[in-house]
Amino acid sequence: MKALSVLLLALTLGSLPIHAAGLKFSPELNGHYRGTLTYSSNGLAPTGSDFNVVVTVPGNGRQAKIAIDGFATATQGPTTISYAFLGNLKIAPNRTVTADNALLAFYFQIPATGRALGQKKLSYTLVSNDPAVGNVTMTYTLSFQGKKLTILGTGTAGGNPTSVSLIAKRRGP
Amino acid sequence: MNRLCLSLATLFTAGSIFTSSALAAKLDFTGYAGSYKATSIVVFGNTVLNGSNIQFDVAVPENGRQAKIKILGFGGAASNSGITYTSLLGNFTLTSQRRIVADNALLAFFVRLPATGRLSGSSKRLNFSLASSVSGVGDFSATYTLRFTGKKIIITGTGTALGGPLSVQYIAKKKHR
Repeated sequence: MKALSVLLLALTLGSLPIHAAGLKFSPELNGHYRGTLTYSSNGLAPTGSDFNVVVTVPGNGRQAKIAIDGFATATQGPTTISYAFLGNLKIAPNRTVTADNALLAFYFQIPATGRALGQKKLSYTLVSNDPAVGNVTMTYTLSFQGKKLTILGTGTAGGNPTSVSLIAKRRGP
Repeated sequence: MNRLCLSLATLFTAGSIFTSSALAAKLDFTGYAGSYKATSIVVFGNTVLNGSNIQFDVAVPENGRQAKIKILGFGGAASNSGITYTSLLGNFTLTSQRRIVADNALLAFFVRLPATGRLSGSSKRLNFSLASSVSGVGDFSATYTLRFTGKKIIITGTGTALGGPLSVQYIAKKKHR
C-alpha cells in the first residue's frame, strides 16, 4: 500500500506540466528594439513601422519588462489618422503576465493579467472587460530569436475578430 | 545738425544690430539632457487629462545645438464608466537655430498632430506657438512657454482645441542618478 502511494505520488509529480517551471530570461535580451506593429479589427488596420520596444531584464534574469511605443496610422475613407500606441508588459518569474493593455499596445489602457505557458516560446491569454471596448480576449505567443522579438496575438475585442503583430529587431550588439 | 543726424543714425544702426543679434542668438541646450518624471494636465472642452507618471527623455548632443524631447505616458480622464487612461506620446526637437519641429501641437496626445514653429527667448526660457489641422480630427493651436531650470522642465501653454479653449501644463523633475 505504501509502495502504491509512493508510485502514485511519483506519477503525479512526473505528470506535472513542464510549463510549471519558473521562467528565466537572458540579460542579453536587454536593449532597444525597433519594429513594425500591425493591428487589425473591425475593418481598421492601423500599422506603424517605426515602433520602439524596450526590453528590460534584471541581472538575475527572473523577469522581463517590455515597453512598446509608436504611432500607428489608419486610413478610413478619405481620413488618415496616426494614433499613439503605448503598452507595457511584465512577465514575472512565477509566470504571471501583467499588461496595461490586453491589445498589446493601444491608444488607451486596457489592463489585463494572464499566465505564461511554455519556455522558449511563451503563450498567454489576456482577458479584460473594458467599459470602452467591451470584452477583450486575446491569446499571444511571444518569442525571442537572436535579435528578433515576435509577439503575435489573435482573439476578439468588442465582439470583433482582432489580431495584433509586433516584429522588432534589437539595435546594436 | 548733420552731426546730430549722423549720431542718431549710428545709434539706431548699432541698436538695430544689437537687437537683431540678440534675437538671432543661437541657443545652447548643454546640461539639459536626462530622464525626467512629469505630472501633466491637459484641458480642452469638458475633457481633463491628468498624468502623474509621465516620462520625459531629453537627448542633447555634446555640442548642445539641439534638444530632442520625448514625452511618454498615460493621462487619465473621468468618463461615465470611471477613469479612462489615454496614451500621451509626443516627440519634439528644439534647434539652436530657433526652430521647433513637433509631431504634436499639444506636445503629446493620443493622435499625432504635426506642427512646426519658431523659438523666441533664451535657452532657459523659450516661447513658441504650434498649430495643426488634421483632416478628420480638427484644428489645434497653442502658445507655449518652456522653462529649463536645470532640475526641472516646466511647460505651460494656452490656445484653442476643436474650437474651444485649451490649456496644457507639464512639470517634469529630473530623475536622480
